[in-house]
Amino acid sequence: MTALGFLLILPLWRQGAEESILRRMEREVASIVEKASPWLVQVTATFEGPGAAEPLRCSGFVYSRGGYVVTDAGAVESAAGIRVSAGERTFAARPVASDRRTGVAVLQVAAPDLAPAVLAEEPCRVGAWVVALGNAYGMRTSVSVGTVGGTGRSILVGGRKYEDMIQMSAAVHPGDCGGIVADSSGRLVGMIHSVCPTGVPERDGALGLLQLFGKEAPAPEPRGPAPLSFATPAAWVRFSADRIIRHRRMVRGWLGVTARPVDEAMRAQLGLAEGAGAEIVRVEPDSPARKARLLTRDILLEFDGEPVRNLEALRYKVASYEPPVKVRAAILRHGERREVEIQIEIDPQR
Amino acid sequence: MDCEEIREFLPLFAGGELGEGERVAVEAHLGFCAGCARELDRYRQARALLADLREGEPPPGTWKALWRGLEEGLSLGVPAGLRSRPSGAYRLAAALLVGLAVGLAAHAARREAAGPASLPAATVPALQAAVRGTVPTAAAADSPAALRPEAFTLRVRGGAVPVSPVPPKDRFHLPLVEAFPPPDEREF
Repeated sequence: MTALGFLLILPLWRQGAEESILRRMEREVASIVEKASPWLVQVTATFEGPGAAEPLRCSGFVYSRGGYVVTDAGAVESAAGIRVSAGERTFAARPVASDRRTGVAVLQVAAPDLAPAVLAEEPCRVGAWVVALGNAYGMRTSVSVGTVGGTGRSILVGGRKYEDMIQMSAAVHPGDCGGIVADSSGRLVGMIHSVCPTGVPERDGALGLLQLFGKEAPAPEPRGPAPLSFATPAAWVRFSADRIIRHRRMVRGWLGVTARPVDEAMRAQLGLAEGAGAEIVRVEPDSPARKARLLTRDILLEFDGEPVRNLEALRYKVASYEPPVKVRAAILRHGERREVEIQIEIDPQR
Repeated sequence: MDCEEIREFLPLFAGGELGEGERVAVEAHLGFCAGCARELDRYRQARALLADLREGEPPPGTWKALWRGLEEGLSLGVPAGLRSRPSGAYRLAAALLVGLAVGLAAHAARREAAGPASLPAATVPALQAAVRGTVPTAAAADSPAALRPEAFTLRVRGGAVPVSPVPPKDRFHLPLVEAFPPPDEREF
C-alpha cells in the first residue's frame, strides 16, 4: 500500500521539482559569466602631444600565460600609454603589435598569473546563443545576451574592410569593444568589434536644456530596428594573436587580390563545375598578384596544388603562409588555362 | 523630402533663415509629420532659452552663416557617404553653438558695463552640464580629434562659464559600421 502511494505521488513530486526553462537559462548565463569574467580586462589608452585626445577606455581579455592581453587595435594603435585593469589590479601595458585586418591588438603586462581565456575550437553556429561581456561606459563586466545572426559578414569600419565577422544581436555599448563573446559552453567564440548604429535612437541634445529649466523631457523615440553588433571570430583572434606573439609583429601572407565566387552564367560559359574557381575583381598595385601579372576577370582555378572552391578557406590559406614563399597557381584567362608562379609577401597592412 | 532631409533644415527654420522654397517644403512636411513638429518645438525651446541668456537679437544672416561654417567644420574627416547628413545631435549642437556664439558676440559688445561675475554658484555646473549634453560626446569618441569641438567659454548675463564639450575621461571605444561591402568578395 505504501509503495502504491509512493508511485502515485512520485509524478506530482517530480513536476513540482522541475525547473522552468527560464530558471535554467538564468543559471546557465550566470555560470558562463562566472567562468568568463576573470578573463575580462579594462584597457585605458592615453594620448600625448598638442591637441591630444582624452583617455580612451575599452575592453580586452587575457589571451595566454605570460601576461598577453588581446584588445581592439583601433583603441590603442596611437596611444602613448596603455593601462590594463584586471580585477582590482592595474598594470602598465606594452603594445606588442596589431593586425589591422582583424582588428586584433596584443598587449603585454607583467602579470603572468592572469588566467587566460579558453577559445572555442570550432566556429559558432548561426542561431546559437552568445553572452557578451565588456565594460560598457566603464562599468566593469557588463553582460548582455543574444544570438548569432550570421557569420562570414563583411563590414566597413573606419574606412577599413573587415571580413568573416560574426553578426549578433547581443547589445554592445561604447567601452565594450575588445570584450568577450562567449558561447553556451562558456568558451570565447569572438571578440567584440563594432556596432552598426542603424536604428539607434538619436541622442536628443535639447534634453539637457529642458531638464535644466525644469521642463519635462520627452522620452527618446526609438527609430528603426535594434542595432547589430559584430565580433571578430575566435579563429582569427587566435591566428593574429599567435602570429604577433611569435614574431613580435604581424606576419601574414598576402597575395593582393579581391576575389568573388564565379557566378552561374560565367560558370556555364566556361564549363566550370559548381563552386569551382574564383573571379579576381581587383589586383592591388605593387602586390604579389600584380608582379605575377594576374589581371581582373582572371579565374583562379587552383592555388598551391589545390582546387579553389571556398574563398574563405583560400583567404585563410594565403594568410597562413609565412613569407617569403613561392606558390604555383592555375588561372583561366579568355578561356585558356595558364600556370603562374606567385611570390607570397608579408601583408603590408595598408 | 523625407524626415531625415527635413530635420537638416529645422535649425535654420527655427531661426527663420530658410529660403522660400525650403521654408514652404518644411512647412508642408510639418503639417502632417508630428515627429518633425516635435523636434522643431525642441529647437524653438532651446533657441528661446538661448535668447533669454543673451543680449539682443543677432544680425540677419548670422544664424545661417555660423551654421554653415560649423557644418563644414564638422564634415572634416567624415567619410564621404556621411557628410551630407549630420546626426540630430550634431544638428542640435550646431544650433546651440550658434546661439552661444551670438551670445558671446553680444556680450563682448557690452562687456564694459557687465561688471564682475555674479552667477549663482549652482548655475555654473548646471549650465555646463546642459551645454555638454548637446555636444555629441559618443560620436566624438570615435571621430578624429579635429571633429571634437574645442572647449569654450559661455558668456551670459552676469558672468562667464567655462565649458568643455567632451568631459575628461568620458571616451569609450566602440567603432561604428559605416557600410556593408559586397558579402561574397574576399581580400587576401
